[in-house]
Amino acid sequence: MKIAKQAAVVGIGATPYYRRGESHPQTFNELICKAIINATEDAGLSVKDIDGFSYYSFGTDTGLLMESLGIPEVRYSSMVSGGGGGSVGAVQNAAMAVATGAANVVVVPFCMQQPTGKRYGSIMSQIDPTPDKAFFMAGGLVGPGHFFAMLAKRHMHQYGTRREAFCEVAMSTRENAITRPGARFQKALTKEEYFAGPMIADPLCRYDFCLENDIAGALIITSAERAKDLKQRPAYVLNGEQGGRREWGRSIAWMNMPDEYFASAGHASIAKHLYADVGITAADVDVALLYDHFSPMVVMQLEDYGFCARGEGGAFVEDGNIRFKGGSIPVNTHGGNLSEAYAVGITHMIEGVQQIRGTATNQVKDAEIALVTGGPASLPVSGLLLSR
Amino acid sequence: MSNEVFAKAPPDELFQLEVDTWTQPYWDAAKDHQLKLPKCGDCQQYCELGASHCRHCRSQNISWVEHSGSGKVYSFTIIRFPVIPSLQDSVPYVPAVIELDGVDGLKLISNVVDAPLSEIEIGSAVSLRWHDREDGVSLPRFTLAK
Ligand SMILES: [Zn+2]
Repeated sequence: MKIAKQAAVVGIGATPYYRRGESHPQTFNELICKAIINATEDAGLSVKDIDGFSYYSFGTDTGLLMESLGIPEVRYSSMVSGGGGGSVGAVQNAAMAVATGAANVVVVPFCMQQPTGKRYGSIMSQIDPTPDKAFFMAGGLVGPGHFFAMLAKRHMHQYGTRREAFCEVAMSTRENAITRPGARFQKALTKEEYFAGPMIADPLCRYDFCLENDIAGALIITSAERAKDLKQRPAYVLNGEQGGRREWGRSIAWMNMPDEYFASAGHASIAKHLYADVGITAADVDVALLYDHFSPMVVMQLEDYGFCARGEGGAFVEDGNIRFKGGSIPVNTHGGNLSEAYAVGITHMIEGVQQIRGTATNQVKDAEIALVTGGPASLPVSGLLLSR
Repeated sequence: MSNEVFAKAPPDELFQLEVDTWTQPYWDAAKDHQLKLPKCGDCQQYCELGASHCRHCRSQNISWVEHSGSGKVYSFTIIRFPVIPSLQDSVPYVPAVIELDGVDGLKLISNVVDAPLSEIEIGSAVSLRWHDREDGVSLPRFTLAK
């Protein structure tokens, strides 16, 4: 994408981070409206300035939001297909919309709210059977963790990756959450606790799984020109990329990826374009907000995004490289999906903006470029570079 | 006497089979205990399971070729925790990706059943074991080859 720094994230907002199912009796749209109002106030804009919506992971109803918020006119409304893989692709779409003049102020809203009694962790048992899904449903794969466990297992086999690496992802992420207001887990996790945790889907134990939360969040994107006059330091959209390779394809729902893709996060092509378009490398990234639904997928994203060589993610992590304190590339400084909260990518985007503003709880000193990723998932997957 | 824990299997109620034009031949063959894989009648390469076109040449001339079911465990997981109540009596079970022999790396998502958990490894040779459900659906599963 060749619109570097023509658009910026100028506002962020969210509801409190609730335990799953505990945001009721507030409604889904009510939560989204609250997040959008917060984000516009943060930006120093009026809700009525919004003239575009950019969604991901099934989105919501633009007309309904306009009714509740009194938004007079919308000139852009789009959604990235797929699920959490495309999360930051919605910011890319918003940036493209404002850079081309299709709209002036675009909001990226997201809400996750669980009905009582239904859990995202067993989502595959609740989806309607279809001919394509029969091939994996027959295998008794019920929750996302069951699928990703097989990628992790293969990575261990192929590259000698140890559970100690997954443990380090869980522990370092937990340490970052401790100081973060509103984080769901704020007690240090020890190696002993990790290894004593029940095995859910070998090699994934309890601490390798992300949380499940009720959260709405929103980002406001406008042109670089307009961003200059607003309340906050702009977090410029340096680049965005969405899509991926056929070899990754439907990934976990398909499992026919060749060797070099199977034990990966499916983001290698995303990384290549993200960096090459703007002439940077992984070494130029100051902080990485990597979608951490499962701890091994952090290890594999570090490889895809070139922070270490393919297969060396385990050792790289075990050497302390992703620590906020003293790491070569601080990862998930907000505590991530593993320890802060899970809401399909929106919390990583919010942290990315805070890091660029210089207002993060665990602020990486002089952070100039932040990488934010969408989930390793069926295509499209996505990546985003924010910069000062 | 051994204390060996054996891999069980996921419960039948977990999924309901839906078929379409391009998956019907696979499930029909399964009823006859034949594992059939899609192969392009034009370019002679294996196709994606369930796809309407050959990804190599876009042909729709897809033929179904029987496979012995011999292969290797490409990856697997052991489900030990019943994430939904209906799994209570079925754990531990072993979802696995099986790389079938001689078909250009084509893999099936299935289960390794009736095998000691400690002996299931990536690379283990497996053979086909059919599971017939009461609703008439037959599922290809795998067990460790002798
Ligand atoms: Zn062909």
